Amino acid sequence: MNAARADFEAFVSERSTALLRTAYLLTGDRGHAEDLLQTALIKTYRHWDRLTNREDPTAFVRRVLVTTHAGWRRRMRISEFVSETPLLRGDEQPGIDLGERQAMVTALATLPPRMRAVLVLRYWEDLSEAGTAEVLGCSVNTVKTHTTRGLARLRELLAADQPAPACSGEER
Amino acid sequence: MDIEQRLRNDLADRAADIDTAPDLLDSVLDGHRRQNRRRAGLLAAGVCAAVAAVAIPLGAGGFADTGGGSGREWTASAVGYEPYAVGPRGDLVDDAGYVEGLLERDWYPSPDLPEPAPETRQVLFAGEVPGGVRALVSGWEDGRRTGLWLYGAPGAGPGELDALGDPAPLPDGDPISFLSIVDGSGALVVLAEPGDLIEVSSGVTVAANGSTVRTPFEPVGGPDGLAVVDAASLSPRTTAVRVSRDGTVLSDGPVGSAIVGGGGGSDSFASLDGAVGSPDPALVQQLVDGVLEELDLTPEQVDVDVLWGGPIGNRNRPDVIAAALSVRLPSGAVVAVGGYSDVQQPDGGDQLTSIAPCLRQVLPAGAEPDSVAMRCDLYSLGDGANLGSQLVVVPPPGTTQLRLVGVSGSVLDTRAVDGPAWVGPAPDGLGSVTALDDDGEILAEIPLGTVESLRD
Repeated sequence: MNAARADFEAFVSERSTALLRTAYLLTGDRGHAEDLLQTALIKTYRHWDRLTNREDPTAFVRRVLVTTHAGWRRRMRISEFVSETPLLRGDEQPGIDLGERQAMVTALATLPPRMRAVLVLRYWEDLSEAGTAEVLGCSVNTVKTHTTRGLARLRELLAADQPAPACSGEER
Repeated sequence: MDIEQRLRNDLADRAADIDTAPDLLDSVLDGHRRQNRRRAGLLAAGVCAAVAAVAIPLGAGGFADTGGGSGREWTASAVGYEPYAVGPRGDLVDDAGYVEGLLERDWYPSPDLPEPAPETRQVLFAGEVPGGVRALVSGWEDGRRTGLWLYGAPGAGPGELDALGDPAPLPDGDPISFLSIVDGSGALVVLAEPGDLIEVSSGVTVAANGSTVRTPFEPVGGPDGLAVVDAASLSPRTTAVRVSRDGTVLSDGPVGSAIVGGGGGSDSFASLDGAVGSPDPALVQQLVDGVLEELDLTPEQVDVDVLWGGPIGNRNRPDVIAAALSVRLPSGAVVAVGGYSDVQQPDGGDQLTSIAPCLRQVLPAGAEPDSVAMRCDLYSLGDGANLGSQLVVVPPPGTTQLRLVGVSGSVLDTRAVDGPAWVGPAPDGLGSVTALDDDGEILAEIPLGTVESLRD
């Protein structure tokens, strides 16, 4: 086995679980997440020689995860999109908590893929705005815009999910 | 708890559903080998010589900034390059070999033209559309994103696609829309950002009262910001696209288009029988074609009535000819059309024919444009200099005198008429022409015609 192949194997072994979690947060479905990660790793291996000399392979895989997932999502029609996005089916899956977490999961699933990717990278991967922009191949301003709009959308959706105040109550 | 902290907690909670990843290494290596075999097949088939030229440096460890193996010079600088914000879209982008083939193909037929640097190239769209394949590849040229649209027959590989015109700058940050029709079929492709609302108006029609009516905007595409609409339902020249984001309209207007094949002239009328003067058939054909193209109509949908044709030259341009005609539209509205043809040889170079409009007005259904007054401004094709303006009046039968009336209503001059039309220098400030018979009776008040867009 050559050194590049050994490096790649070590990378897969060390980083697969973390990357699968990111893929899972992007897709909302473990099976889709595994397919997505496998696709990303195939692309990564093809460019492995170049990547190890130029950038952190993890960043490259993250980028491929996001762009490949966006491509998959694009091929779904609206009807499929609403009914088949796994994040929206959280209450049908075993082992998924209901309540507040379900509300967040459902709200997150309604965001456009790129906006959701920004939130996942910023609040799960803890990437900076610049790091997120690098992964997504966009400007920092775009990341800021997606973050602001995404959080605002989540606030609205979660607020709408709250029970209506009592009739006699008064907002303070 | 604020929304950011709550999001952070919920994502971490959700991620904990994954305890450990399965061993993906074997399946990844298998997938890699399958892709290699497919790419090798592509190369062996000789689909695109450029594939070999660039793929080899890639495999050797990096992009070759010094130039491709084909001997081309890459664009010297990618300074300022920023990747397009959205990844490849379309039903062909799953095929990595296909995408790679698009990235590696030549942009220009001449090897002397520098091409966008490989690291700045992106496939923005590749997909099957009605009648074939379309693809959009972007690259960085002269400090801006430039796009190359490609087309091919159904199932065509990346090396079999042809360019739809020259590479052109892409709108920076705005949606991209392009309507292409090849041999009568094609599609409108709109690339916006995911979540954007894309709406399409299929064209405009001219109503019976002469007003232009745009068909309603209808939402198209999905949440991914991509729309592919069959061109069969669209007017090639008057289709418009509107893209909105969060309720704000980002762009709204006509789309760029390319039409390849399927043309060949309208042959829109059988004869010039009954026409007054000596109308030139080629000029009449050009004027009719202009209306048909602008309104996306076929010759069978209109009735053409040639009113007059003949010479209108002056001492600067003695051989200019003109024609005036009417085109009745399907709604009954009528387009009065006039124009001239002037053959020039600017700077002693190639001979050029200039076809210029003098009149284009929409009249309501029922109008019978049996008289016309139009002003034809003659220009040099070399330096654009004004070579004089000719007034052409085709008055009603029986007219013996024309009264030229200024825009303020004052009479500027009078002219005797001894034929079916009068041609002479156009006075400044002309507003209309009054046609009178021998007894001084007014036969018609003819407003000076204007040139209007038919799509507004």
